[in-house]
Formats: sequence, structure tokens, C-alpha cells
Amino acid sequence: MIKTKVSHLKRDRLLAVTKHPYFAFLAFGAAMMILMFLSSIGILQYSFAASLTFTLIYSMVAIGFSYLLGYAGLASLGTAGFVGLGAYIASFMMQTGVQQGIIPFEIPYVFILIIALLVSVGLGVVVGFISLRIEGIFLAIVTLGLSEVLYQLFLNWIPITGGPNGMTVLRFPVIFGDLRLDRLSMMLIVAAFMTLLLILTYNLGKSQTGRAMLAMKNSTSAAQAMGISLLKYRLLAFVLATAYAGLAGALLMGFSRYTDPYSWTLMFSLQILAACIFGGTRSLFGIIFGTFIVLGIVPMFLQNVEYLRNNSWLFNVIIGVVLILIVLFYRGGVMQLFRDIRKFFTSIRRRLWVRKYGND
Amino acid sequence: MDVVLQIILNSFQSFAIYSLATIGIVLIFRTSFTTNFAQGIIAVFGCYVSTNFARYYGFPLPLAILTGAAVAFVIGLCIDVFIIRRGHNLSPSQKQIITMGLLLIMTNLIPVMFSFITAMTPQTPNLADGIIQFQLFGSNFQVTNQGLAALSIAIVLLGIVFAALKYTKWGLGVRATASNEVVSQMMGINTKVITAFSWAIAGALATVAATSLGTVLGPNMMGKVQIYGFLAMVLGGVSSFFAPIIGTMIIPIFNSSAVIISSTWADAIVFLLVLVLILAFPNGLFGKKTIKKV
Repeated sequence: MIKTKVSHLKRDRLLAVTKHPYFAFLAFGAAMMILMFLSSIGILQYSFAASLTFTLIYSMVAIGFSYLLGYAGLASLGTAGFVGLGAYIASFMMQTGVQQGIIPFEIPYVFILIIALLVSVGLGVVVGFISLRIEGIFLAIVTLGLSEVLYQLFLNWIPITGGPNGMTVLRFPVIFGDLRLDRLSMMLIVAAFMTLLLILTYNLGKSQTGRAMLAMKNSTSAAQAMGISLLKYRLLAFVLATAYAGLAGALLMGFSRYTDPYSWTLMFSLQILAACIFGGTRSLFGIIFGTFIVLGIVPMFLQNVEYLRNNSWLFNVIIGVVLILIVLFYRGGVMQLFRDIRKFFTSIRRRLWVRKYGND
Repeated sequence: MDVVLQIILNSFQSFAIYSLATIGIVLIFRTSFTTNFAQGIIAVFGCYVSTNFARYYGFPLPLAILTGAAVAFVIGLCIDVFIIRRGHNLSPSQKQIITMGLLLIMTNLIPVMFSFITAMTPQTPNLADGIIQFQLFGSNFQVTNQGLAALSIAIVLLGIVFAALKYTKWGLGVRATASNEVVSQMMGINTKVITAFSWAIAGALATVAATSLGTVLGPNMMGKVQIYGFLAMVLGGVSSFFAPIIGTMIIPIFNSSAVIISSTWADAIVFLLVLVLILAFPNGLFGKKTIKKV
């Protein structure tokens, strides 16, 4: 009798651990790390792990974007420019600046990340001030223009960005001295950052900041009447979004060591927007799943289908059709899908129960 | 003075293209309340058709352009009837995703469907060849015939569209829908037909714009035109249909002046100038301030 009680207590304690909000994030991060580790031993293909890492980096951008779309209700199409800026800053620090003698020695990767973050925050402040003057869909168009300016910069500033041929960094970034990161450690760093950002976003969303942003989204006038400063929270939303994007860009550069201007066009911003809308704009795992559908499913799985690989145009057509169908018929995004699956299973369980015990 | 005149002469073709693309964007924005990213790709489709008819079937150029415009008209109509109409109560960003899906589909389908053309990397048909040189106030000026032809086509088409907006029932319907969709429905206006025809006309006009571009055919040929179109719309102000056209006059003039400074950085300079202007006049140069009721 007593023994069962103890085991109950143990189970409760275990349940309490799994119910803790951080558990899901940490478990997700650990699962990603295990997958990456498996690829380094050779059990999984390297290309799979690489595309997984790219998907994680892109979902960081999408989660940062959710501060704008999901919390503050601001439309932005400048995402591509912000990520590209982070990537090119990292490439400058890692190789171009050293080659041209502007930077005397190779900077440790930590500082590269910090500098990319700082520049992105500066850009975020600028865009935040713009958002105070212009609202709604016009803000989206203005940020699109800003992203185009950055695109022109990437395309034409050839000594720094490599121009239309793109920029290839030859070696992985240094930790300090001569100690270099390698493929696996870069992947693990990405997974660790992902976990950290998930926890940070979860906390910020549940805190006063997130609620103030939500109030601002529903009605700016009502929010102002409640004493919420539009200036502060709009700036904060844009700073967070650009900071996530800049960090993701710098991580991308550290991992793939290649970037070209054509990756950072309107299409990328729209893909991030799509990922965010699929995820239900505020649900963290929903956004990750949305990014997987929009940007990850092709390199991770469809690439292995023989027929599709020979007709690569089919990928994007399929994704386009899926995008339209989801927006038209599954407005709630992935979250609604999860709910429907759960409903389906409960109805099946109910039907089995009825068959077993009768209708009463 | 002669530099200014030459700059204006140089921007004829761009003005023609941007204005035709922008009026379509504005029509869709005012009736469907979203920015249509698929506008450019519908135009590219029409342009492929008209190039095909002009170069390989030997149609006379006006007839070929008309065929392309008719195809784009039908595509625009179908997109609205089968897709946008079903999602009329979606939020603007969800509608943006729909147009982005269309963009993805058509960008990848076009090279496959027209693979017999893309193998040869052809140009869009020239509207007219040669340049005109003339003397005025003692200095030389020149203007391309292509620019003049594009400008005259654009002026005629814009004239027709603005006359239609002012004097026909469709135009009245568009203006009513733009000011308030629900109330205009209650007044007996069939907003579905109005919206469908706006999409169709936008597609047809943009096709004419794409055909007068005079570049190598490709799925991305209208990309920059479209972004300039969006910026011109905001720059002019969306509260009237005519103000965005003034926006499309300003942008090519900026562009031709910026090319004198540096041809590499011309686009970046123009984007920055336009952004600064938009920040200075958030409602557009000729827009009215919208007053929100709380």
C-alpha cells in the first residue's frame, strides 16, 4: 500500500518535470543535437543533418518575425535584408576584413556574433522609428524597399561582399587563438542557440512585454490609453526581430560559409512570412513546423525522390499549391491541424469504446 | 536645363512600364485590400505568349500583344474567381501568402511550359527600332523610338482606364468598393464581379508593360518593376487612383538622374530617395490623411 503511494509520488514528480514549460524546449534541443551527432558518426546522411541545421536557422528568423506579426501586429517584408546583413557582417569579420588588413587578426566567433547582433539592433531601432510614422501594409512596402537597398549593397559592393558571385569563406571561424570550430560543433552551436531562443521567446511572450505587444496589436488607441508606450514596444519588437535575424545570418555564415545576394530577395521574406502564418503566428513549435514545410521539406526529404530530383521545378510548384491550400482551408495553420488530429483520435477511441462496452 | 530635359526624355520608357504595372497594383489593392506579388508573374506569362506569337507564328505585333494581354486577362480572372474569392475574409498577410504561392507556382511552371522558347533566350519584341535626334534651344537631344512607342501606348491605355473609372458602371463600382466594401454590397453592387474584373484588367495592363520592357525573357524580368510599383503606390498616396501615377513619374526621373552619378548604385540611390520621401510624407505626396475612428 505504502509502496504504491511512493511510486505514485515518483510518477507525479516525473510528470511535473515533463509538464514544465522548459522541458519541451530542452527535449527538442537535445533531440536535434542527437540527430546531428548521429550524422557525424555516419548513421544519418550528412546532407540530412545540414538541411536540418539550415531549417533550424531559418526557424530562428521566423520566431523573431513572430514578434512583429504575432505579438505587435506589424507587417514587415524586410526580413531577407536583415538576415543577409548578419551573414555579410560575419563573412567580413571571418575573412574579407582580415584579408584586406582592416581587422588585424581573426576575431573569435563569439565576438562576431555579438557585433552582428549590435549592428542588427541598430538597424532594428531605425526600422522601429519608421514604424511609428507608417502603418499596416505600407510599412510592409517600406521595409521591402529597405531590404532592396541592402540587396543592392550586397550585389554591388564587390570588394566587401563578393558581388553577384557570392562570398565563400574558406575556413571555419576560430574559437580563440588557432582553435577552430568544425562542422559538428557549428551544428551543435546552432541547436544550443535554438533552445536558448525558444526559452527566451517563451518567457518574453508570457511576460508583461508580450502582453503589452498583444494589447498594441488589438488596438493601438486602447493600449495607449492603458499607458503602454507605442514607441517603446514597437522599437522593442523590431529590435528583437532584427536581432534574431542578424544572429541567424551570422550563424548561417559560420555553418555554410557561403552566401550570395540572390538568397536575400523578396522571396525569402515571403517564405518566412508563410512559415510564421502556418505556425499560427505565436506558437513556437508551430512556427518551427511551418518553416519545415516551407523551407525544410525539400532538402530534407523530397530531394531523395528520384523523379522529383530530375524535375526540380516540381518542388516549388508543390509547395506553392500546398501554401495556397493551407491558407484557404486551414486558416488556423498547424495548430488547427494538431487540434484536428487530436479530435480524430479521440473520436476513434470513443468509437472503439462504444464497440467494446455498448452505447451507454 | 538641357540635362533636365534629356533626363525626362530618358525616363519615357520606364514611366510607361511602371505606370501600367502600378495602376494594376492599385486596382487590386483598392478592391482586394492586399498587395499582389503575383502581378509581375502573370504579366511575364502574358509576355511569353505575346513574344511567342510575334516571333514564331509571325503575328503582327499589336495582335500578338493583344493575344498576350487577353491570356493574362483570363488568368487574372481565373485567379480571382477560383482562389481569391474563396478567401475574401482572410487577413491581408494571409492573402499575401496566397499571391506568393501563385508566384512560386508560376515562376517554376513558366520555364517548363515555354521550354521551346527558353532554349533560345529570346528578347521581348521591340515595339520600334532606332532613335530620334533633334535640336532644341541649340543643344542636341535624343529619344529612343521604343520609349516613345511605349509612352504612347501607356498614355492611351491609362486614358482608357481612367475614363472607365470615371464614366462606366464598373468604374463607379470600383470606387464604391474601394471606399467601403460592405456598404457597396448593401447598395446592390456586385463586388465579386468588380474585383474579378480588376484582377483581369491588372493582368492585361501589366502584360503590355512587360512586353514593352525590351529585355531578355525570364521569370524574374518583372521583379524590379513590381517593387518600384509598390513604392510608387505608397509614394503617390493611395487615396486616389491618379496619385500613384504621379509616383511612377517621379521614380524614373530619379532613376535617370541617378544613372548620371553612378550606374551601379542607381537603384540603391533611388530606393533610398523614395524611402526618405515616403518618411517625409507618410500619406503619400498627394494622399489625404485618413482619420481613424476609435
